[in-house]
Amino acid sequence: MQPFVDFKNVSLRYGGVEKGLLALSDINLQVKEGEFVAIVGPSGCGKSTFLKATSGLWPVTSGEIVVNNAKVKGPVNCVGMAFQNPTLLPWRNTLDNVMLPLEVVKPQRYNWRQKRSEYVQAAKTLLDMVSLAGSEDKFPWELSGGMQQRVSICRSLIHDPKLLMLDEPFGALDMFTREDLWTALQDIWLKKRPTIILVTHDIREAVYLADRVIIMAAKPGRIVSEQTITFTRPRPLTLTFDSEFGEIFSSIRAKITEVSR
Amino acid sequence: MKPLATLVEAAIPLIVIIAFFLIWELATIIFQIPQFLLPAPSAIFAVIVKSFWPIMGHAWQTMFTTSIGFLIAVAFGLFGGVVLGSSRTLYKAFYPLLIGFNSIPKVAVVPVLVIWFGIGTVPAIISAFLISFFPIVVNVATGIATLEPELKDVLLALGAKRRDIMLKVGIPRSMPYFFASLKVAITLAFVGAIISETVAANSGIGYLMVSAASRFDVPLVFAGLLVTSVMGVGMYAVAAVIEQRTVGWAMRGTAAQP
Repeated sequence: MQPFVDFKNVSLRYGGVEKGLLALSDINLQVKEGEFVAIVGPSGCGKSTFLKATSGLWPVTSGEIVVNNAKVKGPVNCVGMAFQNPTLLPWRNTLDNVMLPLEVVKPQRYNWRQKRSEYVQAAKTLLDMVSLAGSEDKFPWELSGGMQQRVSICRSLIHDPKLLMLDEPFGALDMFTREDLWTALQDIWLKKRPTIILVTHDIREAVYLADRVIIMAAKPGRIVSEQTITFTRPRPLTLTFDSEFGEIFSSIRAKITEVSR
Repeated sequence: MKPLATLVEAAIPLIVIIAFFLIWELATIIFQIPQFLLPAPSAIFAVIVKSFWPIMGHAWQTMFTTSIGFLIAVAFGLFGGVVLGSSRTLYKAFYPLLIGFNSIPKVAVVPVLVIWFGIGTVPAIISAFLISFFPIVVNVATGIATLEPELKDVLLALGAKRRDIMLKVGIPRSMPYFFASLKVAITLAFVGAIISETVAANSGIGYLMVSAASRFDVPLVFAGLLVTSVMGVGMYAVAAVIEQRTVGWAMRGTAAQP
């Protein structure tokens, strides 16, 4: 079967072909449809650049990326994205923030007025899954950081994207909120099965959530190793105290230390 | 205690204004300042009462030219701000020209406007427009240009076109900047209109003040100043109310929060 995301010898250099910073160097990576992949690595290893290249926001310098059987030339349609910063619109309440993509993405943008009640229902279901039911009418400043991030994740999912890209979405949250959201994200993934690429600097997060952890190194940004995680789903949070989990964690930790030297 | 506190807070501006006039009145009495130098507030109010309708006629003319000039500035300012804010290249290209235009003393432009359009209403409208246009453009452009790149990425990755980003995010986001600039622009528009009227008009508050000054009718000059201030405060209040109604979300720190 054709991989859903296919990186073929991809390099990306900022500012000038010759002298610029080599953010991605000769990346080869295949992600299957419905797979949950996490990318970890030291800061500056090109993790975020990787996401931007995948979604077509930044053009690659050489090589090619294929997403959903089409070569990436410009921004890829129907991708969901969420960042460390929730970037909600302060003039919209929770419900309208979640529904923003429907007003933009094809084909929903042509019928979001007619089918509004249907979409409102979908948004409410999503908010319920991240335990935000009842906050539909609240404005972003009335929500805590963790709640805002939940809204941001709902927004990235409302149009049922085939590919979900998360750039350290839980990075700014406290540990309890973070673990809460891990389970919420796992539930959503098990139910809707989008392909997810999660960029994170939290190894526990990566091992707990992903089917496969990709380890990147910096200068130039490159893939050094990968680790398949085979724990059965749904994974309980107590799994993170498991000895086998600990071993995988340590080996990944060791690899990152090795490459950042 | 609480209702009293809010009442005091609401009354304070009024108390300050009354105190200002009282001190002024007392100063003119104590230092025996002659009326043709600094008239007492009581004398000014007397003139306003005596010549109420003629003053209102001039005030209406000024209000009219100011409002028209201001509305044109709002339309062009919004349009220009959106265009400049949406493109870094255009912003950089036009900014020096804008600053250049804004640095020109508008009073120096009025004679040229008179040559082009004759005296009266048209040059007043144009100078009100010219002087109030700049802050609106700059503020709207800034609001749009400072859009968070992540948010732009979220929308681009959904296949949003430039126009979508503008309509859904850029323009709503720039509205607090826009209304903040309106409060500056409306008072500037009065300045523009009155400058033009002092140079080239036969009606309006500016004309009234110049002709009164030439007759050494200083209380009438001050009456004109006072009427202008009242109109300025009134228009500012209108802008502030519209701002509170439409972009209250940006001012949650002060009043909107329960």
